[in-house]
Amino acid sequence: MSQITRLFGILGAVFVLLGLASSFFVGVDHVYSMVHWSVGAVCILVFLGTNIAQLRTMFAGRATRQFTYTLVFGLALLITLVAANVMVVKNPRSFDVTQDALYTLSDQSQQVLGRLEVPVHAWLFVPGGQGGPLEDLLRQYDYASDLFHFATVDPEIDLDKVRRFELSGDEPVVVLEAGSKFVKAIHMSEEAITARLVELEGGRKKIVYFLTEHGEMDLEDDKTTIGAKLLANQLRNENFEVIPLNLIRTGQVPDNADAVVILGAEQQLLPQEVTQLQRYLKFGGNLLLASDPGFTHKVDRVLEYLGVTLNESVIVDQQMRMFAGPQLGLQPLVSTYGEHPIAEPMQGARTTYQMACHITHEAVEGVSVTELAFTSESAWAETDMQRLFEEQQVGLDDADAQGPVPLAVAIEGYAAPGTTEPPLVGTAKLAVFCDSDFLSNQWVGQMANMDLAVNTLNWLTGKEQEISIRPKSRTVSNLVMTADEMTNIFFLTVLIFPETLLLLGLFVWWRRR
Amino acid sequence: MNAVRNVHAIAWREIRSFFVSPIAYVILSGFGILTGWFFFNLLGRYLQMSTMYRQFGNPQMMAQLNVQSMVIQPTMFNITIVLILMFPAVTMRLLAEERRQGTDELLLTSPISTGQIVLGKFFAVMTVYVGMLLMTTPFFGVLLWKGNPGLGEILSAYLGLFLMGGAFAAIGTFTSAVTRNQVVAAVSCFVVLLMVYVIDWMSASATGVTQDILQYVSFIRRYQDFVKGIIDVKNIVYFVSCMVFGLYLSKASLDFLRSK
Repeated sequence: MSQITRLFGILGAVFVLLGLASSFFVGVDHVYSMVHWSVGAVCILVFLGTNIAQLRTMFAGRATRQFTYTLVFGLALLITLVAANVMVVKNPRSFDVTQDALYTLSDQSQQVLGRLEVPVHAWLFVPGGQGGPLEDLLRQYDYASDLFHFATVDPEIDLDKVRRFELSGDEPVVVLEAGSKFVKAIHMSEEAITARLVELEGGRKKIVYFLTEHGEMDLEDDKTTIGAKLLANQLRNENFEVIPLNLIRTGQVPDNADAVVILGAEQQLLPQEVTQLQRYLKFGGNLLLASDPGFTHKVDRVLEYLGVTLNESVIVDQQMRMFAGPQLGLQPLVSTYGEHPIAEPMQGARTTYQMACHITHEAVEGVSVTELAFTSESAWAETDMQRLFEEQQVGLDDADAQGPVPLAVAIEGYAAPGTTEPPLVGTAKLAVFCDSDFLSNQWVGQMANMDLAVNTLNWLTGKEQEISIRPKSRTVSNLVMTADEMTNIFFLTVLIFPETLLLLGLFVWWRRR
Repeated sequence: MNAVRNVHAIAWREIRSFFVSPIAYVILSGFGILTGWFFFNLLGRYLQMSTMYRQFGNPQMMAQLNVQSMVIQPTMFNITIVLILMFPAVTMRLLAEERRQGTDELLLTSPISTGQIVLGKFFAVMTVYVGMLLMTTPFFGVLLWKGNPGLGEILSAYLGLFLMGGAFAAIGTFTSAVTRNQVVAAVSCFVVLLMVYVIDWMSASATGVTQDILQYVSFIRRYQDFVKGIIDVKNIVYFVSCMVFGLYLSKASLDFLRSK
């Protein structure tokens, strides 16, 4: 075998390997890969063609037989190892050795998974396709049930799925799909995923009607600060169906309404609309009413018989501005909430309002009112609106309500006047906010405003707490070390021990000399 | 029993020759300095933040501080970076040195099988490696003594380090077996280790089955579960598979040399 022909053999092998590598990066059919494959093939053919006799002798030789046995055995071993890996992937098993059982599903979740009868596929949509802790959570479900499978999807690449599941926004979303049904989960907690699984088992989306034709916020408006499209989108992501309601045209609240929302109405509700809304409430309907100072009288007839008053006032509160110290402002910040299912997840969170009024209530038989959100003690409800808006002056006096004042209440029950009214069916639920701006495009994304909105609708529509799973958290670390201890650690770990090893090495080198 | 004795003899010979060379001490002290420095800095940052939050008197902020996620897990990941640098240096001379010095002929013509030779070399590397891991145990010992981290998570991370290190060792043994030049062995080992470590980055732009395969073969993905405190059987099987196949390839190289 001459040197030159041997070179062709080596070049052929090298070009084939380079072709393989380039195929991995740019594809087999790219001209760059094709050139390498072609040149490699030609070199190998030349090598084979000019060395047939020598190759015949070589293949009959012991080394070649050895090589063949090794290759065959190696392939068999590789196939066996791949099969073993495939088997453990299809039959996953893992052990959670964390201190706080962070990666173990609760009994409730395991029960829900045990009840699955059809396969459920969970699609985790996350930009970049790297799910991190979200994947860990879904993997626990995958491991716990043969009928639950999950995959991570990059929404920027897989647009078909984005369209199919009607996704919008950049936030990570989990879509649970079973057959032709699917539900979405925005909140990435075990409680939310398990609750969605229960929904998928059981049924239909909750339908929320938004009243229109009175200057309410526009659900399709995402261009202006006073639109409500952000809220509408989020509610759709939470598996609500959001539908505008022209009560004047329909004549009554639809029977399939799980809740009705009046969001920032600026014109008077007609008497027949008020009647229909009251009738809806009498028969166990659910209403979210958000109104603003100066407009409360347009809608407050809905609340008659309930003993709840939206006062004509504006809440004044101290605000901290950078480099300017505390000043009075009309944007109260709320961090105190009442004891109610709506407010329970809000403890520690803050919500912000714009030009809010305060709510008062008196006892009415059959109606229970819970104050939801309170201003700070330094705030008050200014009732002298003329002085506020015309003279831009405020001052706490006897007519005003000193903080903390409530600007949101939850109501259960409905008192129907007279004895000829039909009997109540179910229990009405209302959530009343003396500000609607906190739900507008400009403010709903601030602080915990969106959480408050979603919690409210969950409570109104009865979505809250079939499932209650406490989020897992790590044990709080109690590590404390003094400066001396830190210094000792530094000397031992970074200096003394490595130095000892180096000196030992020096000694060994010297001995060898 | 003969086989076990042979493997033991090869391993012991290799360990002795490793520690007789001053390079071993440079590698070990370099490993100690780097890992100690990483640990010390992470611990210092944690304690600084802990002191600051304690001064604010805010229990919610304090609850967010956690020695597991701020010190132990980052230290465990940093150790793997150091291993990618150190393993090529530890494994480069395993078989390449024998070939360079010509002692491979003696070894290959002896009654010891190539499998026993490879296993002996591999166990020698693993013994040195376990010694390196033991050098890091005082870090976590201090944390366990002064604080309340989860022991299960620490042990799980060490299991992951041991298994991943075994896979590294098998790769290093193979790259040492295919060349007589130690530098080539070290560099090729480093390149392969780095590739299997970062192959996960490529999976971000892949889709479908390709993405699944890339994510599966990524060492860092497999190791992450151990660091989090999840002992997943598939990760154990994967690392053991890498060890088995790497060692088989090493054996195959020696068989080829022997048949010549």
